Amino acid sequence: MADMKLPRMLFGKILRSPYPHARILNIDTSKARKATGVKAVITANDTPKLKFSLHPPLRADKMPLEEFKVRYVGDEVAAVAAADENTAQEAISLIEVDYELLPAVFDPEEAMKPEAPKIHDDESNVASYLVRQFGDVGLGFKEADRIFENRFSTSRVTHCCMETHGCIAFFLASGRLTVWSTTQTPNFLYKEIARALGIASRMVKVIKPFVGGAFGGRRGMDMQDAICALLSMKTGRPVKICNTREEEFTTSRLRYPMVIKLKTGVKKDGTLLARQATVITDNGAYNYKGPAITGAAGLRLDLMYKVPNTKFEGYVVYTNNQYGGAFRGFGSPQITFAIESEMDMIAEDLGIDPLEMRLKNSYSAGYQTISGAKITSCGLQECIKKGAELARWREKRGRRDGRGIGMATLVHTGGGTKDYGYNCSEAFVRLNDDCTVSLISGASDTGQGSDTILAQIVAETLGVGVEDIEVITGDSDICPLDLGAWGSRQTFTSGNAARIAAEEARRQLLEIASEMLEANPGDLDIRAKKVFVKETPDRKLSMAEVLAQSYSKKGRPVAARGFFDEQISTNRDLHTGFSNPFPAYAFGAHFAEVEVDRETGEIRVLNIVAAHDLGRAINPMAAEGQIEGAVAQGLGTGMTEYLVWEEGQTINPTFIEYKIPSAIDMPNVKPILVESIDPNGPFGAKGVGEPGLVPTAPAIANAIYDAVGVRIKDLPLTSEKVLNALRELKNGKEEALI
Amino acid sequence: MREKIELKVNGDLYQVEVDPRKTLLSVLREDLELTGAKMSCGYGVCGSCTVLVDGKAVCSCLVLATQAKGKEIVTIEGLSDGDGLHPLQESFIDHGAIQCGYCTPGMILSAKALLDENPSPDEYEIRSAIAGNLCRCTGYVKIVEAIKAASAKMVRSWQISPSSAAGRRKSTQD
Amino acid sequence: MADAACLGYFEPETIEEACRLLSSHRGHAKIIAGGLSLNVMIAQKLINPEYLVSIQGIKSLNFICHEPTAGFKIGAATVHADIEKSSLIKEKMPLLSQVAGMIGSVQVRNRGTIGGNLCHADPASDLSPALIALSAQLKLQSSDGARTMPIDKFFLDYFQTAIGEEEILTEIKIPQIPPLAGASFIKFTPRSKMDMAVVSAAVYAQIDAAAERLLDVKIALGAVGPRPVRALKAEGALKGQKIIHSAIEQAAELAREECSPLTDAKASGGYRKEMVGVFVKRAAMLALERARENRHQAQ
Repeated sequence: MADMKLPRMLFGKILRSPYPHARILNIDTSKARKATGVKAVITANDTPKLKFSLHPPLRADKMPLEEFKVRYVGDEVAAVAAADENTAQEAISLIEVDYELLPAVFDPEEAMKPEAPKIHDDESNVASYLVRQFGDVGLGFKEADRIFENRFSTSRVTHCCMETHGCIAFFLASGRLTVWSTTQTPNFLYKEIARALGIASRMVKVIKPFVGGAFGGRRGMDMQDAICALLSMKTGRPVKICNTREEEFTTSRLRYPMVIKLKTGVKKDGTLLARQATVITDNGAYNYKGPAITGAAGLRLDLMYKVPNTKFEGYVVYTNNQYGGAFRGFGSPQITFAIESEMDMIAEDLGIDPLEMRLKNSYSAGYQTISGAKITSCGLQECIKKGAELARWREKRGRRDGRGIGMATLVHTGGGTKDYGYNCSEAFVRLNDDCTVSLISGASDTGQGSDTILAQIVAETLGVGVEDIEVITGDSDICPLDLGAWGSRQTFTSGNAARIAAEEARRQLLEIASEMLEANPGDLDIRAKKVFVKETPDRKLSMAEVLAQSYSKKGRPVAARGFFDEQISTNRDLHTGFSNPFPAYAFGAHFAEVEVDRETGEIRVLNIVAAHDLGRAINPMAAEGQIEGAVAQGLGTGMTEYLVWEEGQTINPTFIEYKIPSAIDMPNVKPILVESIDPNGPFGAKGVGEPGLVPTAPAIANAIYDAVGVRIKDLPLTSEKVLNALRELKNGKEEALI
Repeated sequence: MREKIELKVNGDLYQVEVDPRKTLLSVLREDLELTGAKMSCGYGVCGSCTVLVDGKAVCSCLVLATQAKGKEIVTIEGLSDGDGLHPLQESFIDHGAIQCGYCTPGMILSAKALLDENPSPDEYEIRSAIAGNLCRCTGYVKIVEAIKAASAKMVRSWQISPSSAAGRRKSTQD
Repeated sequence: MADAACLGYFEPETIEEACRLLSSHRGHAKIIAGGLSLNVMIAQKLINPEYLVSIQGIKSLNFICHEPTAGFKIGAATVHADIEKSSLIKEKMPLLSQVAGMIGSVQVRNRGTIGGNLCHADPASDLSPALIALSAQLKLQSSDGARTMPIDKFFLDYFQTAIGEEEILTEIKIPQIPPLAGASFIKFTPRSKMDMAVVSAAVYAQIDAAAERLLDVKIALGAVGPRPVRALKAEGALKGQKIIHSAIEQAAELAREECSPLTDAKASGGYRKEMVGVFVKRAAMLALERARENRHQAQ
């Protein structure tokens, strides 16, 4: 995206609020308008002034450019289009805005109090409240031998795609708007832009070029897409906006930080009886995925292990902070940190090996959870056992000598959800007369390799090579309906759609071949571009011959549509909350080995074994790549990555201060692929995009405990916290002696 | 003030007129349309903008274009000799060392600078050499494997045909 | 960057010419060597120099030479990679090579210069505490002449040095470490090996022939305040003392007490202070170990 340019293209820049909460009294753009090279300056007055929702039906609370109030540092106020980037930047600094500062609130627990400043009109700052109960937690706790209550919290982390958000918008006088954007969901984005601009969605076309990483961060519309479109409408010229790295850090969506109060009741033998969680999510200034992600966290209460009684309460609270969004794991990393930390605390208390504790409470395929999840395939136990063996768990565990090993597990969707009411993908496959194949899919490749996986699925089905497949994606005009790249769903849903389309094309091809070979289509097979009779392989035709017959003699293309609308997961029952949330369930277990310096608290992660059940590895190398990359993010987000805010201002918006792991920071990472063969996945496959980062941080936290006996319950896991905890531990012991 | 400068990039001479404070990265991308080197952090931390200047890996976002006059500049566009991919490029593809690809040009050039100086590096040397190239997708495992494999392949090919190897090494330095 | 036009860019070939340019554009010109710090500051819009004087082409600023008695002289425009890889430095003063090798990434070390690092005066610089412990002297030159100052007088405040507007840092002199001495530098980067130091400590220790007493000690700390500092009380507590654990522990405690580091995104001031104690102790032990090794070799 960053490399693209169009003739007569202008560059846009956005004026952002320097304050966390302020009323806009006046905006004077006169100086900026007069500056040489400036082609347009826009404020809310140049927009339809439509409040829209990034995630309907959540309350519409955002405008591309704010009119009356700014609600976080970085909120969009005005924008400029100019001949070059520097001129645009210069012009931005010439816009004068009078603000009236308002009291701000940054802590969601503070924001919940009645006297807290109100962020949207006069309504409560609690943007959403969720509650779900299954079984009877009261009874569960009553029957429990031991009850554990802990408070955990997670940090502010962000995607750090190597390419920052960028877009080019080009509005034609015909009314048609084309937006090239670093999106991972072109099929959503065109509708989102239309909604923000108040225009018909058919007037918007979105193209996703090659994109430098996504990880959930390119899921929803960034305001720059809408602003860029407005600037193009104003000037009639193509306009490009690219975030600086600082803008990326301070204004793009981040992982929702959560406070998690977790209560678990167990029997003496380690059997889980009841689990209750109250989660307070920092929604930030605007609505987006807060409720969906908080709800996704809640799903884990009875999904990670067999728990017969659960209660979940979630508060999604507006603050004057940068707002959150989707990020690899979607609520799971937060709650998994809490659950998996507490599992170790329970095991320790009961004198049970944490690994046995997990195996004891785990389930297998065929299990149905109390809240309705139906497990079609499950390799969790295999992940735990294989991982433990490779990590040498028994040998390394429990030495308390400064080195330690810890583990954590995860469960995730292996194929998206019905968060939008449906979970479908469509694909078209055409066998061209030169034996190549065109696959048109609504999937989105942002580096995770979905194009390759889809090509493999089609190639396998049609008996051609992967190199023969041309994968056409990323154009909202051309590409069919698909929810896009999220929820680890593309291998499963887009893959199934591609498989169905390929199977239909294969059927058409075999039908023609059967006439030519005078055999039943059912008796034919295709391999390496040869169609042959299975019983007598000598009776064969080259695929080229069959296609020549079809195209040249009959004038009939071999082309097919595949539509996959999974009828496996179910929508949540509005009254009971009962649902089968995912069409397939992906599992995994991480084992982390650490060394802790008792004088400094420094944590060195030495090894990570990451065992993942992905159904079937369609492309083992790519699957390993997904896991290894996710582990790096899990390590970073658990330990070295955290945005630091002071009064809503990010004080570390650079790679100098926000540390993503480099090649020398990474421990040895060993992935293990466990194939449980899901009955509904294409060739048995389930998604593996997100799972890899989910259990890394709790595995490290548990390893720290194993190494030196201190428990860190708030992310990130820093040396400073470990040292403080070690001191407390020591002081505690000294006091006990007196 | 604008200054006329001549840059030698991938063996070709270019004349451009620039503000002396313009970085080499901006000149490569904007004036020469060599977009292989990427902008990502702008502070010389992420390595996406890595190019070779006189054989050394540098962050082109922190080099003034004018300071690169008279030097041999190699960008990813100049790595293959036209007939095929450079062994490092091939190896990155074969080992799944590329996901989104944004860090790849810089990563490969850092690896090339390493292998030119130290043809058989060990894993720690490889990791140190690319520590200034951040990748958010791969976790570096496959990248390290790819560099190891390319190193082995290149050393083998020199052993088989020392004369052509000398030719190749010389041509990349010229 | 476009706020004000660049009025001039110069590439002098001699130090004298560079000095003349600084004089004639007094206050408006900036020296640029590798450009790492300067270009970051331009990118951050912290500075906007009208005139740039590039010294990368001045050959007399790019050298490493060694004399047995005087020690090393290093030209200010020598890049870190050259210092790191110099076989002469590896042999005669391995610590300096090690410290140069700890700075940033390969890309940074290929462009960044020793003089640029010192003149930028980032308090978290690795070189500055190491060179303070090694008693380096800095040669500053202007059209009016040259002066030499001990490096521990050079740093004044955050990114502020004693260099005059018309002066150029031309040379870093580092006396040879005597046979009965050792030096060390440790930096603490708990988040990432690519980090700037959260705390760094450099120690120079000279022992007596019997290896029983410390004759001379220098302790320098990085990243603990607005400039690299010497831990003078700790030094005082060690000088002339017997080499025993308790003395080092006590000195580390004094060093901890005498500094008051600030909190930033990397670590709190309180934690940094604790780490000063730990790292002074570790650096002192390492320096003593090296002094003993050197003594052993000298015998």
